[in-house]
Amino acid sequence: MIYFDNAATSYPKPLVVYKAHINSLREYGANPGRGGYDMSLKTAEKVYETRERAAQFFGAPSAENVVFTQNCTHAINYVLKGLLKKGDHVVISDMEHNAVTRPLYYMQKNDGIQYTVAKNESMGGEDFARKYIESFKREIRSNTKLFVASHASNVFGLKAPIEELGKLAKENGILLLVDAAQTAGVENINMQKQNIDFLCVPGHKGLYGPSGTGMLITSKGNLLTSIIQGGTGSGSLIYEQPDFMPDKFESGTINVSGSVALGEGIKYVSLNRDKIKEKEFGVIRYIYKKLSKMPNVILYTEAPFESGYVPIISFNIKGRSGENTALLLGKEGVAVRGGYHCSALAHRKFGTDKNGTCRISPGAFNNLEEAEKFMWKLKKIF
Amino acid sequence: MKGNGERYILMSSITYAIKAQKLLRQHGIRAFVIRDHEINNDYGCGYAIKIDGTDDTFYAAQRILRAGNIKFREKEDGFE
Repeated sequence: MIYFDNAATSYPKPLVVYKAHINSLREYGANPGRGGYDMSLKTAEKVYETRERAAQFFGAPSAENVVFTQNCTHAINYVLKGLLKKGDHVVISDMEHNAVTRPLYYMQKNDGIQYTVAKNESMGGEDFARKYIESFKREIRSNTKLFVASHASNVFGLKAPIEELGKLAKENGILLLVDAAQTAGVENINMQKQNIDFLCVPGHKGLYGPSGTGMLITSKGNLLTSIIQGGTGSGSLIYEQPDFMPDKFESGTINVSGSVALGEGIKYVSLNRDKIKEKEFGVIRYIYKKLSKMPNVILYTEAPFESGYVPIISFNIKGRSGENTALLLGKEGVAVRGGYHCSALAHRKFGTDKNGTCRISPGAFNNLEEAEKFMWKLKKIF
Repeated sequence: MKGNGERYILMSSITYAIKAQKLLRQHGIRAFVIRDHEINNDYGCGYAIKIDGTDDTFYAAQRILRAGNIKFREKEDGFE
């Protein structure tokens, strides 16, 4: 199988992650923060190690700013539902994933929250970043509380100018939530330098951790109400949910083996990020170049370059839907995702909401040989 | 907080207990995370740092934690 669906989840994982995941079930099998015996304390220390690594990796002030979640979507929901009150207004980009649009749609319908999609008429190129910022600026109101931005589109790979957006948010007393689903582990993210108030991260994509892991990283946990309350391992005689991080947002048992394995994934990426990026861009640029010479192939962006894109491209074969192309490629042993990628907004922006697209997203373990094989297999299905 | 001749600093959670242990050890203080079942409190349950050393070591540990912005429980009815 040629696996080109790393935007959905990365595969395979590095050997160190597999080993850590399996070993942790044996070595760190106790519940951290519950017992006082050796294995419980050892498990707690190991979990803390992942928090520390994550805090350092993303430029967060300290380890307790890291909350383990089930995935990036959960992290986003913790912020939206914990922060926003009736009458608050949110501005989002026109490329957001349903992890953002669905909760906001629900909250607009049921909780009196307002949200606006900042329409950026640019589809890439030199003016994209400037127009992106202008589109957010235009939508600021007196009750705008939050900006929400995908750091990069999971369909078209376009990167948002997060640092400039953070500056705009700070200047206007607005908080910034960054959905780093496609950039965590890929891009250099520093929360403090980029004025990111809430960073939502999947553990299982660019950080090469297992599925069932994610993180909400924030030093502004005091601004959020907890949406899940329960046992946290201490203060058991008190009914009030702890008001300090990370306990406030970690009720019940966390995914211990997942968190331990995620720690190894973060370590792996921090040692190899530049090499991985170079490899992924090598693959995506090769494929883009070949696709661009095929008259029956539709591409939707310019050739991806590192400052403007993550290594993801979407394409279509004329007369075929994205799902159909993905299905046929699947039969040839190529794993790609076709359809709408849980991103109605992105597809509407690029006019692909009728047929969807077929998305290619290489990872650390893909290479040019596979890119060549992919092209050969693609030609077979024409 | 002292009990049975031993010196403990009560922490709000395991995360802060581990953070405190690391910081104190970096400052050369022998500190160990323990479950606080031997110490009376109305918080319910939690973790403490056992400090090996003299009263001076204990007070130095508290100062280090305060300087490192790590909350611990000094009074019966709340955390500092």
